[in-house]
Amino acid sequence: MITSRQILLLCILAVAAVASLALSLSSGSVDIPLADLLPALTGRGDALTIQIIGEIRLPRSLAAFVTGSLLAFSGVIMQVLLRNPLADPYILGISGGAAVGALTAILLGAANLWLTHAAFAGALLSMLLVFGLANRFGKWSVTRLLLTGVVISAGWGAVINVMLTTSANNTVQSMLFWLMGDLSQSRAGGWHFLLLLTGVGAGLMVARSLNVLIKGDLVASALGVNTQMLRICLYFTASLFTATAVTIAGSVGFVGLIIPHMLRLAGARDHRILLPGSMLLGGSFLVVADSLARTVIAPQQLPVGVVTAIIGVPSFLIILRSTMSK
Amino acid sequence: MSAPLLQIDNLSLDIAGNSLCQGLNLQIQRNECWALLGRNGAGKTTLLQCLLRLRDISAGRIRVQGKNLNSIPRRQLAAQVGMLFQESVDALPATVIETVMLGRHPYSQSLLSDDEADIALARKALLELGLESFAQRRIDSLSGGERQRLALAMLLAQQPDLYLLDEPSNHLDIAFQTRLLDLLTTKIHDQGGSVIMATHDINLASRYCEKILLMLPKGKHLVGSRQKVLTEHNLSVAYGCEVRLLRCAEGPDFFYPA
Repeated sequence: MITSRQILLLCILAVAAVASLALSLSSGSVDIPLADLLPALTGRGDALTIQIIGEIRLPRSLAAFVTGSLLAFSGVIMQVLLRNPLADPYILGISGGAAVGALTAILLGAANLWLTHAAFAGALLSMLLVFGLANRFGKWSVTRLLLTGVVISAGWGAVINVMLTTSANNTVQSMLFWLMGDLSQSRAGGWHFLLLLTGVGAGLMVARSLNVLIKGDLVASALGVNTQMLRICLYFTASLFTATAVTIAGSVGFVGLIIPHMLRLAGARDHRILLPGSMLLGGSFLVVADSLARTVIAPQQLPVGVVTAIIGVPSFLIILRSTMSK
Repeated sequence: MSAPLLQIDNLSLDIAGNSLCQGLNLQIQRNECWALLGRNGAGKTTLLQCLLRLRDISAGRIRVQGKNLNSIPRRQLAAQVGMLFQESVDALPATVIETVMLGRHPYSQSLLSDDEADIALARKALLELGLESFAQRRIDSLSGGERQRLALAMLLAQQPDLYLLDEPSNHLDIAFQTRLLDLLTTKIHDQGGSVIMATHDINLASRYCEKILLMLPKGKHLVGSRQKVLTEHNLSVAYGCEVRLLRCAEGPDFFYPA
């Protein structure tokens, strides 16, 4: 059920998304006043500002936004698919597969472009592996999928550890940054935004069915949902989105787990609000986290994945406490 | 005459090599209240699930309002047949009114907005089950009986022609048991629908249901009127224990284990 309060929440989130991007564009080693942002974005003002905004900060901020959106969206879908509030985009081993791909590329000293390709290939491999193993005779249960995914994920973890312990120190450094999630090399392409828009559209198409699906497969089927088909679509959508996010920024943790819950606690339980809301909040959250990651101990940069946990943990606990006491 | 609400021809059900039911023939017309009785594991729930295509049958044919069950699209079937399940899944938070609104899913037209008429029906269903003051409550704060009433309210909002009830009296006190069954019998009378309820409560069944399907051991079964099927002998065979009947001068008959 959509209430006017939920629509208001969505509007606030949209404003917050714009505000977070503005904040991120203005902050950094060179402070750019908010008033100069709009001229710089439209190509007016001094050349240096235009260059900093257009070539350095905007691409990175957009990459952060896209990554956060994709992860939060996948988080919602995974929680519905596995009917488990603890599920996050990485639970079924997508990030593990991507990490093994990326680390292999780093180990071979491959260029950045190959690193992203390798990460994406690893994620796809993991996705198909889990699907193939969990899927038997066209039927798959939630438990079977979850167990398969968790086990495959643990397997990737072991491979990652082998690679970390046997690599030279200087490569280990960049491997760790990748594993914690890092946006310093990230660029979002036009197709990422296209993917986001497709996601919102497709998500809204099935949002009503998702509301029913969280009540279990039997109830959902009895209410007219083709659960088997829907689950397969959800699995591949969430996996592809996660794979894309991981390819942009490495495995940034926490966003996909807490953003959906924050919104549910704020009253956005209907997936028609929850899905777009998660994208907005997830994007804004990662943009802010990344601004902090590159400014807090400047000129050094923190991996953004560390910051998401540092600000995510307390804020989530505060929200949880305040809603529980109601 | 229109086709029966439900027609079962020569249905067989097997689970893990055990035959639960063989050669079942059954016709359910409008305005009928059926009880599905049998011991634990006799296949009551399984049979109900087959009637909604949630499980495959081993042999036979099921027709809903004259149409082959397998040829009816899920959404359309959901408008014709609705089911109350024994278990509910509440992993993610929801409020009572949101949950009842899900019962309107088969009819939802617009992707983004909720139809006023659907909300009104959901509120009416809450009222009918005495949950009107619970509308904004979170479902994880409800008691077992309140959850059961919520599940029933969701089913009422669904407005199917045929109600399949799996243990409807679970968790309900005697006041709500009778209130619920009075409500359902009035509803099917007004709407021309029918009820099949699987239950362990023989007395509840004998009080409200004209027709009985009694599942016996080894895939056998008895179908017929209450007077014909509910006898001491039949029930004793079905449950594998001695069942006696106490006839009361006033009020319904009473079955009890000897």
